[in-house]
Amino acid sequence: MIQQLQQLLSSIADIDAWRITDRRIQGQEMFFVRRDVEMQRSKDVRRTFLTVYRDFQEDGKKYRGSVAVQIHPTYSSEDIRALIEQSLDSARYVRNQHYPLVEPGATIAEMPQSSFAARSLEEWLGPLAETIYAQEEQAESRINSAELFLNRMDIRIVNSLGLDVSYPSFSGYVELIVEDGGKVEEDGKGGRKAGGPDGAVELYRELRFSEFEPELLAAEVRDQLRYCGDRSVAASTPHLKRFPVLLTGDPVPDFFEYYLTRSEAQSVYSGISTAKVGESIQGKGVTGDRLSLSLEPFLKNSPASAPVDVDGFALKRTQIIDAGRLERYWGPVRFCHYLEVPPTGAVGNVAVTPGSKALEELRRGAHLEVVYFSDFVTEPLTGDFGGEIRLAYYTDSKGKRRPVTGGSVSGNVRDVQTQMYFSRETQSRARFQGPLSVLLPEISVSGAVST
Amino acid sequence: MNVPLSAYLAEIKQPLKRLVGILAKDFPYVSILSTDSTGMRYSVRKRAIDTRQSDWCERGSVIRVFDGRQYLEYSFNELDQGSLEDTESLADTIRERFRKSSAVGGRLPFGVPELPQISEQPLSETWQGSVEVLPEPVPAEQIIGRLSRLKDRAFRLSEHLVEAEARLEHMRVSKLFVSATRELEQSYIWAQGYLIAVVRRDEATREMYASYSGLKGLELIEEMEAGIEDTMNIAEQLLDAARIEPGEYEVILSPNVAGLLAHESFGHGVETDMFVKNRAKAEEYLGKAVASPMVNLRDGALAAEQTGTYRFDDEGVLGADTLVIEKGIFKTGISDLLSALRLGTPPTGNGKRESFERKAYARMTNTFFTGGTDSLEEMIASIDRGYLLEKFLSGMEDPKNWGIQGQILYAREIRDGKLTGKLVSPLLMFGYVPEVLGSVSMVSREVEHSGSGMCGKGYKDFVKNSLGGPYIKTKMRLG
Repeated sequence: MIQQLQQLLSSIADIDAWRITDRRIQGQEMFFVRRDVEMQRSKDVRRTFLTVYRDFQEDGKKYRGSVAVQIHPTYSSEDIRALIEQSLDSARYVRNQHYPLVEPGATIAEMPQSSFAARSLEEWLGPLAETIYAQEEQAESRINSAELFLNRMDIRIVNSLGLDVSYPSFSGYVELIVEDGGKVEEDGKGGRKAGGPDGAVELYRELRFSEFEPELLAAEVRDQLRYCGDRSVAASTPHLKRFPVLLTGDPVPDFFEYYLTRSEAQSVYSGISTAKVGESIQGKGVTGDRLSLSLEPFLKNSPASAPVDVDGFALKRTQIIDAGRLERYWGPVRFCHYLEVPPTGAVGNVAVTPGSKALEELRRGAHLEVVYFSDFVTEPLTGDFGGEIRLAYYTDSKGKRRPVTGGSVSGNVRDVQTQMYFSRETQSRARFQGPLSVLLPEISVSGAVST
Repeated sequence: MNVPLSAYLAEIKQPLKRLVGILAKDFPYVSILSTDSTGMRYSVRKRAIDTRQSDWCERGSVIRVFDGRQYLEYSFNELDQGSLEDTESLADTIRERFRKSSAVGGRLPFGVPELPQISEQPLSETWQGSVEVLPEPVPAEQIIGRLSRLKDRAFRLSEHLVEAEARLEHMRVSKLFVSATRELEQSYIWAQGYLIAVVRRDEATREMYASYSGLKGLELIEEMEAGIEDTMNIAEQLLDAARIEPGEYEVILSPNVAGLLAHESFGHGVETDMFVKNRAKAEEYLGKAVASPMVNLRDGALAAEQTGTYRFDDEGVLGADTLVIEKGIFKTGISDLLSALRLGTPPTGNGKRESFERKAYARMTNTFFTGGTDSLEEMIASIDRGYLLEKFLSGMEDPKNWGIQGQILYAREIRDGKLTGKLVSPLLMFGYVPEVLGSVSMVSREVEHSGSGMCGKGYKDFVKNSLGGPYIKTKMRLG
């Protein structure tokens, strides 16, 4: 396919540059309801994307227009030629400041081999499913349903400058629903009545991975089963108005997205971010922990690990924020070229340095520790964050800790960033390695019941 | 103008029918869904233009078989001329795939439930949608030019504008479904457009969006052109928006936010694959009151003309118009084919796939509350202290525990029966579904639909659909 495309591209006039990204994907999927296999699926697909570039000048300025299209394997040569010619014609009106493609010749790190490469994909479904379901045996909560996806991708990126990079990548995904019989809450204050058809509660979780790490997978499942048990006996979240909130687990990577957007070359180029290199990205008067954030091409067990970005730019570890100070902007070749800064590539993984305090210390004093939201959202543009609480642990002024559910937290990163603390304990998730918890100073906590 | 059918699907139809015939010797049920959907996405910003094929483009096939006990599926997209001519050889490859899958399943210490076989009535249909202006023949120059002028107008309308985006996406969706008894083909076009404005004053940054959608072609740009002034006006107002004091309020949900409520409450909550898993609280309320008698809710590919519309679903079942809630009583769920088989209920044409690469689930199509008899003015006048929730950002379902969460971009303050002109932004709305729907006390007449977003099953398997409703007055917790 790529060879055929290259031949066609070389025969077409007016094309100034091109890039092909080819992904062959083999996939195995298994769908469980309780302990029954409801369906099995497999796939063999190829996704080939072509970007054609056309250079032009207007008023003495150089522009590079581009159009990106998908070349389906079932396209005929005539289909492809017509699509390229149409794309080239359209590219004349895409008036973007000129930028270079990735040159070949850079040293490209070798992609660490995944343990999944040792056997066929089919053979891994059993060990994955057995690891997940074995955790039920020691828990009161149980698995309602699970969906397992395991893909192998063979990726190749080729461009008109002679770049030709290829690497394999594995991606595992589990959607896990756990449930607990629970009890129906009767608090007499109009609070939410926990429980499904049989008074049960559930928790939803996505697990992403690129290695067969049965102990890690088992620990994640056990945590979810334990949390679900706690949710089943959770009281309604009280109306705490403004209260210290500890974010733990899943919401933490989302919270740090704000800083990724602020330091991204495209955001700076477009004017969305006003962050300046050399200045504090957390504002003035930081009394809490200072953020250190780096981009990591290879993070163990992350499906986003890759030796190159989508342009084929060779990736390496890069410090973006150090002790709260913005060290450099990050981004693909195009937008870094516009800002006249060295490109870092669009790295998929982020690492945040752990903080100064142990989790035990962060848990001292009255606070609300939220471990599950319905959907925690941080708006990277404005810094607004919030979500409805599915499970939190409320510690009152006497130190009594109990599970609560319902209500919401909301705030803005800018309002808390000088006084937030990160835990010394860490977590590793797909695309993220960093503190397990972040303590935010008093933010808005709306209860689940009327006050 | 009628939307043309896919020439590619016409070309492979006979070989696919042969393939179904060959595989039918080994499997009691065989079906193939093939897709050839194509479209473009144009985005014009202050300093960047992006032109690319839409992410919704796809061309490939998925084969489903029933082996007498369970259903198996195989997705592929490399179907060369040799395969088309030598369907016996292609059938061998596919059989080998299914043999491997069955072998893996058989070795594991898990059960494989015996499922009933799909039974289809013979049907042969072809459906072509229609639009005013077919987008595909229109040169990119024209589209980019109109979007650029929109972006320029945005900058003329706001002194605080930092970034603006005018975006248009159009898709021609073409699908072919073949089984032993069915031969269905459809082709239709949907389009969606966005106006996005980022404004900044001092340290405050706010983002506003307006969206447009429908079974439309390039005529959609005219709606975007008509909406730019309102969009920029609200963007400017958002700079003065305050945070809401958390609490329970009387609220009026705009058609946009009412649609979100419909979608997250009795949309996801009545997808019957959730019934099969015992994940839906709604199941225990079949035939019972779940809402105020003023509440009627519909879903269906044929219930409205929007981006959730089609003639047949991804399992070869004809689209329908399903009355989910009638006068506050929960009447029926929305179903994919396999869940319907398990539950012994009729399928409702809601089996949808993200693409040929993915599994079919019970999914919403066009979901909305129907209109009532009140006016918006009467509703505002009836509230002493509350908010008019205008526009949502996102939402999340909780079908088992019947919670609902919505991220709302902004709401208008109501005091003493009047809009005060003050905005609050952003905010969360949340509540317990029966309480929220049970508190509905007024419903306006006109229904509006919006199909510019996409919906996930959890956080994956995104599909197009629409949501909508009239203005609805109820009580909700805001934070």
